[in-house]
Amino acid sequence: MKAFLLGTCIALVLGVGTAILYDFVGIGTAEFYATEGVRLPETIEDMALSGE
Amino acid sequence: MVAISNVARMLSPLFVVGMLLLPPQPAAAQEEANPNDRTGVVNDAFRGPIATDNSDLIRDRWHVEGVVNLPDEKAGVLVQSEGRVWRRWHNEEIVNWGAWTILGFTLLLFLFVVYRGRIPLRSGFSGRTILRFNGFERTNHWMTAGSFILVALTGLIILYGQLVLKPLIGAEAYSTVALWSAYIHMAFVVPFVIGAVVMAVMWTRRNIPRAVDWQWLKRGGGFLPHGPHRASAYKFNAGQKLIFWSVILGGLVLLASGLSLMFPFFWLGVNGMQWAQVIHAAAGLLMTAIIIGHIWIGTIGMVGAIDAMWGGQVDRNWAEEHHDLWVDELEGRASPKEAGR
Repeated sequence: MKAFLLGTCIALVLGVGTAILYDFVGIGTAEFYATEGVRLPETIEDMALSGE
Repeated sequence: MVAISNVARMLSPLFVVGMLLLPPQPAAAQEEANPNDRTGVVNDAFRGPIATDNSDLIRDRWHVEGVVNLPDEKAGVLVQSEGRVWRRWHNEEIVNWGAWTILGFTLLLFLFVVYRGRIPLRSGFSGRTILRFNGFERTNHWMTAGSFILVALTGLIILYGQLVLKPLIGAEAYSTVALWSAYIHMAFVVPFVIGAVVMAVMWTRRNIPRAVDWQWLKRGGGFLPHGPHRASAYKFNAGQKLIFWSVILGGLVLLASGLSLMFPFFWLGVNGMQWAQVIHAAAGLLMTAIIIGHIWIGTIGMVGAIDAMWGGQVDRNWAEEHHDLWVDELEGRASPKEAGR
């Protein structure tokens, strides 16, 4: 029981901490990829936009 | 030259009359050449019918590539046939096979439970216990397990949400759920990977396949109602070893393909991205099915199994029934059982 709670808490701390780090760096945002010079191919962009 | 000029002058009225009598082909040809008019007429440049919309254009060409002055060289490829193959895999094959794998495997387990019931402890509980996993091992297991469940659930939402969730909760709510799912999916992979690495360090030596594992598999682990009731195993039986290697090797595949998806086109081209997406989805779905089996056997599938990871102590009779060679090791006994039992 204690190990279950401790393990779950550590997972939450690490997961939320990583999410904050991503947010800080900008990973997962269009701005991040734009500043890195990454541009999605038009066909894939279109698919993403059309929800395909 | 003068003679030729005179002949031409004589024939010119005939040419003008002839042109007036012919149907107005040149005007029609000009209209056909108009790129904005996609009415399905012939265009010599494409040696085929002009596409009536974008999908026809893509279907007609296997590869359309030109030269661009943009910094992004990928923009020069307008159409590449692998994209259609990827889209079919992404939208149909992976989605269908993944659903069949997970639902089919869950149904099989359910039928096995109905048919077999819980795998019993034949000798009953002795009341004496043995430490199977220490606190560090259990904490690491639950950290990895909790992370995997979150990553798997959010992965399923990303893959199946549009099909299953969107009609239920509406587009706006699904948009929020999908966005958060993507963030959770990417964030909780970190504790999962840390946990898997720690597991690899702790347990790899004990999960190297041995001859006794083949015997265990042939005996169905002793789980089948009309088969042998016992199958010898050390600390980890063959089934657990299969799950261990699935987590380690599957985790590596998922990490490599997942990082490629998190950082699109950083080190892969369009083809590489397509492969990464298909491999990531297929490996994730397969691993989810395997872990469902692991959760089943560790909880409702086998009497006494949950104690190993919950409190760390297992009943001695349980250990003797399912991991007899490990008990022999613990008690310093030689293990003649491995050869034949």
